[in-house]
Amino acid sequence: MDTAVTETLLMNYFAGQASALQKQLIDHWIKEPNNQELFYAVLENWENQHPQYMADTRKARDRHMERLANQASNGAATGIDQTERPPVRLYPNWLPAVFAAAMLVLLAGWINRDWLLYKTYTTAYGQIRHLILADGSKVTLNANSSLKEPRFTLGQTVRTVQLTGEADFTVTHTADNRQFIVHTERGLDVVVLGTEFTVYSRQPGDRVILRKGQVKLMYPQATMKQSMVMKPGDLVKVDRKGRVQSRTVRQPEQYASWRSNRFVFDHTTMPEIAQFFRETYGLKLIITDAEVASWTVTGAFTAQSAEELLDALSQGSGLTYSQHDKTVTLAYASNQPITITK
Amino acid sequence: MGQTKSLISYISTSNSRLFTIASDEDTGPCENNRTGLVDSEAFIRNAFARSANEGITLLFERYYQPLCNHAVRYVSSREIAEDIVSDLFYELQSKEIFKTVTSSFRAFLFTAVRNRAFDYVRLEMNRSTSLEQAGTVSIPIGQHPDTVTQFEELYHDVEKSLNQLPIQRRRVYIMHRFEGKKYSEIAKDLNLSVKTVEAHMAQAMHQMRKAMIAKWTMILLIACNLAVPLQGL
Repeated sequence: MDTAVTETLLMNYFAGQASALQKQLIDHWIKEPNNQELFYAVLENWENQHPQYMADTRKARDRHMERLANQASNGAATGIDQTERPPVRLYPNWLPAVFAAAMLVLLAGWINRDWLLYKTYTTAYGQIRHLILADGSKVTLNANSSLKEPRFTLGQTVRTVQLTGEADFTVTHTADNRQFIVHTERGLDVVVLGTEFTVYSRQPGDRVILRKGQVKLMYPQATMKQSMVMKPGDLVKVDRKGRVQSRTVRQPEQYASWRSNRFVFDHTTMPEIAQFFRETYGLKLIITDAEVASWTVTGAFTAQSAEELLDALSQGSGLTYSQHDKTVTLAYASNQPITITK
Repeated sequence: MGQTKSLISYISTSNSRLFTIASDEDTGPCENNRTGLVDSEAFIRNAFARSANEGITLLFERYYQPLCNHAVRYVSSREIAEDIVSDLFYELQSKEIFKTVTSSFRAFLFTAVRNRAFDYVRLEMNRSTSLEQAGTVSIPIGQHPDTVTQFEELYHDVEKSLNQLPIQRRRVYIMHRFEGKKYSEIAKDLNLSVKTVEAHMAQAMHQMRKAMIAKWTMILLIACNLAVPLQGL
């Protein structure tokens, strides 16, 4: 690659900060087809980082599909959208239906008081949800997780939520300094006023990573609760047996990069990768080939789904994979397939 | 521990600051780079192999936003930008152009959007009357600049001439062109008469055209004259 044209130069160029000489350099450089790919990759990146407005992608796609369907149905498409709305009808029998629905809701609420008292947000495998709680705090719920928030907070002096799985919190500070507490099933409490942090609470243990502000951890030890104060960049682990470990990480935001479907691996071992797939996508990987099992993965990947991530992982590593239901078979492209079972 | 082998050489599409490339077999940076860039679309190509609808959906999700964002820099109208991008996607699928794309979809889409946006600006510069119907006129495919930097130069100039408008006039221009508001709505929002809004728009158009014309006449108008016979079609 011609080193004279760098990503930084291109970024400046798109922003209108390149000199005449640099423009000429780019004009010359781009004649090479490989460089064109890099050029447009950086352009895409730049446009994503400098949004002018948010386009409604879903609506555009729906209109596209509608237009294709119209073309298919009447041969010569004019390309003019038919944006006529479907007529709104008031069905004569809507009242009983609404009444029945209301009764059902009441009945369900009566049977399930937990539902009535708590609002529960859950995510399926591979799904990420962005929530805004009643107090304005923002929560991003990772895949295969659930968060319980009390519906009635009137007269409460603290804000509490119950977490299973993994979530990232940006807690707003209230005027009356109310504490925000995240409970995990293992009895760990994260007590905060207003800050940004990630809580992970799954089968292998609990983990809290603090990005900003200050939090107090309360964890059960023997018969009483112990407490400790975390500083930004601290990562605290509580394992299944209740042992507590604390260390400082350099880039705490990496632990929340999953919020934007970005996965950062840094010398991550294959068993850890397998665990990640199980927790996030409900896919079980067992690696039988000793050599592959000893590999580590380093890199950052942007992926919208398990398939996309598998694609990215297998690209360039000489691995291929095939998937049957919840079982993924990894194979060396050159060797016999290695079967990975549930 | 065992043998530590990095699995991946993959160019991430978004902020690559955190990204590290480590590879045992050194294939040379150039080769590595190219495959990395193209391979980031492997998932989309696989989807196209399954069905065109699936592929186009992924293209929408990934590129619609940045493409509209890019087009709007030239045409300074959200609606027109989205029309340009949507038309491109439509042709890509209905004419099955996706089967013949040899570069990455990204390079293909960006190149096409830039050309079309360029065509649109050319058409607009050459119009003496109102531009209201411009969106419905099919844009002739004319000649395009032979250096890539002219594209950036063009939208930087559009931006500059927009910034040079008096503040109130610019406000009217953006509300009308970018936000798609009607003259009457703008008049109400800014507490002006509809006539004043009209005058602002006409002045804004005139001023922008004038600011652009000195530099771009040669490229835009000459190319446009070539394209005139096509307009009748």
